[in-house]
Amino acid sequence: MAEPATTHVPDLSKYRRDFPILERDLSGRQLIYLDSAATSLKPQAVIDAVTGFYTRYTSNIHRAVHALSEEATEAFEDARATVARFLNADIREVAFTRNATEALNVVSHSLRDRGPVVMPLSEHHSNLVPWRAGNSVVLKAMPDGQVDIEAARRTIAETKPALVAMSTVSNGLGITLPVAELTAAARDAGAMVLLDVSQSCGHEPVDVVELDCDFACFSGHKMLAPSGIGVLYQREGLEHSLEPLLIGGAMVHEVHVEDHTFRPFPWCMEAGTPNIEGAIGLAAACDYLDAIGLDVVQSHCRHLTSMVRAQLEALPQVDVHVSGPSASDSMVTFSSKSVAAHGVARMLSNRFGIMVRSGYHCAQPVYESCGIPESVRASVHLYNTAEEMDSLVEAVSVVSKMA
Amino acid sequence: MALKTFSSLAHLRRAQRWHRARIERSQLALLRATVSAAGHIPLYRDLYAPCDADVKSIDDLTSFHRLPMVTKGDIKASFPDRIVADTTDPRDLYQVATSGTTDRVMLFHDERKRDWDRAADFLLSMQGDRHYPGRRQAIIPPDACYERCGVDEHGRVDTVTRKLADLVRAPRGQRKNAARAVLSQFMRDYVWRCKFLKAVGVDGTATAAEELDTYIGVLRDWRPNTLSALPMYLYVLAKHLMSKGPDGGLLRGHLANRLRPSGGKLTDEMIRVVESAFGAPVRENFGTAELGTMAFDCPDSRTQHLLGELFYVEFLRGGRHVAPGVLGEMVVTDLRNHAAPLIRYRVGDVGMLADGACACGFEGTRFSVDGRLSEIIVTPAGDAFAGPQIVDFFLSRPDVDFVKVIQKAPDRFLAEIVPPSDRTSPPPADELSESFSRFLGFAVRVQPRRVRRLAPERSGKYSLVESSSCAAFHDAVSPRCAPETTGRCGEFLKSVGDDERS
Repeated sequence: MAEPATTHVPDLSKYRRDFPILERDLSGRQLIYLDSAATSLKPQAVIDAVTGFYTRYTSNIHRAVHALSEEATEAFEDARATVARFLNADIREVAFTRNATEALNVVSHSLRDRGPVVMPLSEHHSNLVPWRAGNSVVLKAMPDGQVDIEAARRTIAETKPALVAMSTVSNGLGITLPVAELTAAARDAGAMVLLDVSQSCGHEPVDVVELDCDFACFSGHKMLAPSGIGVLYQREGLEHSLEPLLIGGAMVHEVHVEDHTFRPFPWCMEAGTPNIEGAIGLAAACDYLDAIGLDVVQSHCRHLTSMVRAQLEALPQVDVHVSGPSASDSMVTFSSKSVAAHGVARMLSNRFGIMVRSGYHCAQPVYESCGIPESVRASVHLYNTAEEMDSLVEAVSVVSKMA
Repeated sequence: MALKTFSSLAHLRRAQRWHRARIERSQLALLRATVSAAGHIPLYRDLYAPCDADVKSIDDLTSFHRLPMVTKGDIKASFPDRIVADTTDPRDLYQVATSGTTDRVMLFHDERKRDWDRAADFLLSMQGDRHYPGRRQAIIPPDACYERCGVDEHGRVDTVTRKLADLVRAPRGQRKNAARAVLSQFMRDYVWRCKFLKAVGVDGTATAAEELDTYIGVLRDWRPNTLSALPMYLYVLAKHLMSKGPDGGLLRGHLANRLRPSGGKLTDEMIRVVESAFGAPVRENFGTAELGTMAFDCPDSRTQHLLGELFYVEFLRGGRHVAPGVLGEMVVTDLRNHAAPLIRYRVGDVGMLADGACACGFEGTRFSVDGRLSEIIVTPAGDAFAGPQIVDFFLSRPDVDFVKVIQKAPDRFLAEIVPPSDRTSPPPADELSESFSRFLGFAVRVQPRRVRRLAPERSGKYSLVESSSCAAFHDAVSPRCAPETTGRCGEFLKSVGDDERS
């Protein structure tokens, strides 16, 4: 959430050396990575944690009693505890999934037939499409893509949904959603709340108790962790709300000739051999971010995005799509008036070594509804610098004049 | 067995009255015998060889102190054949599980060591707890302990009858063990009259009032002489009692005569609350699964009296012995386990020696245990704060009911706080940071976070402080010929083998 610029801007430049990929040059140009909303870079601590599993204790978990398996099991369950603390959750509330998409599908699979599900139009496709199989109600977007809170309150009150599902930060346009207001409206209507925190987790403190949500999910790869690991949080007390999407080994308690019983959440959601090294890497990422301080990361990213947003807005050939209080702390979306988004992104990469995203960012409906063309998205993380923001603005200025 | 146990008990009782010089003479003789026994152990042979340590040349404490230390990790890695004297008859050995509650086998005791253990337990009960055979005792074991303690998750307990049935069914090769189990169960049920209650469980500090009332009901009806439980269990029950009113709903003073925390330490603030709520004194002892009962506290000085005929204890920081009253890492030598000795063994606890003789006349080694090594917070100036001190800083506030403190960076802490029921938010961050900075003596930032509860670790125990600066406490502690422990505490703890962490 955009707030007045802080008087103290933390200097995180010392952490850049933790990201070995930043040493790479692209055709003689230093890499500038501004696509962290799609996936983040990985610090050495995470790389070491994953490598450590491969080089020191590769083994399956929860099964054998030999030393490697015990070590791997301990590391995997320790990872669950670390992630739980990162979210202010209990270990019994945190299941490992492949990513946020899988987590959303698990919830959708279990809940979509229990009543209407309400979600903002600005959601990622993974939080829109899975609900279409049931009774879904989409909250219309205002011209800037933001949710109309009053209209949303009325819709939720009238619909009396089983669930309100939303992101904390929409990746499509870079909007911070009014989560507290929508959650309050959902609670008033007796609905459960699901939060996709993929774009805020790792950028700011996420506290599931403070957020007052029933479910939360995120992908590890957006918060410095490996790909293929994500988290589904389910609030304690909802143990029987979700049904496993996959059935298999490790998630069953007993299997007899004619019947079987499942283990409780979260283990019932982890059929088969899980992504052990991914979970260990995710925990390493949590530890790494914790050691820096998520409030520090948030201040840093907020400073960078507010800076670049202001500079881009000053360019006559550029439209910045979201600004003001709705603007995300971690990304800026914009379009060139003269060059299509993919063209801008390609040229930024080829000519300036700047990696940005272009297109609809898996949120096509909100773009169509608001009449916004495909955009360029620059998203930052703790490893980005003010100098990189200056380079981006300068490069965009050059590229936009090319048509 | 019984005769040897009672002759050992008599010896231990006599040794409690020895004067200092005699204790030291005896300990040196026992140390030499133990180190000599280590000459038959592959682990120690390999450990001492690079240091040119000659087990026959240990003629005073100075030469003993030059021996390298061993960690739990060393012992586990050497299990089973490299920690046993090659002269020992394997049939004489009993497996010992480390970390008490996690039940991982790591060591052996022989029958003689077991006699000393039993004698120490007797002495602890009678002299430490004033708990004599035939008096009732209630025990609430940790979550993961029901197999060892004979109580399952539903509160069902083992009985002598059941053990006798096991004995009848046991195949020939297992009858000796089955017979021992019958005897142990008999001692437990009819001599020590232990009643096991089921563990408080994973809801931890948020355990439902109705469930806590069942414990209170059992205690009220059974009225044990001693209630033994994890420190956090005692504290949770005490808080629950206090919620019933100033006199604990007329239960104060009617639930147990003595309270004995086991598997951990109550902080001073917790002791105040627990003693006040139960209306009974807290009596602490110290021991570990692999070592046995080592010491018990004396009400005259509230220090632990070491059973000096069984153990030798050192306290070190940075590889040097610390003076009485100064916090140090505890290093223990078991003087009676010659089958699988533990010599200069790093137990993972910290504490400090007490100076001089006790007011009760005891002239042996006295010390206090001040928490786990992994909980030590070390300031940039080198000052060390033990875990209980950190916990008490928070617990002494009216806006904190339960707390867990995690050091995220040298100057940054996360405080997971369960506020009292009449408050919904934790203390403000700025105010907390300022006062904690004053307490520690350097500027820190505290992020208070409201949590629903503190849950136990997998072992069933509670860890209330996680330090990232504890490595600074034991750097250059020279457990080997060269220092081994630098860097993060996590890595160090793997070498110490503290597998009770979650």
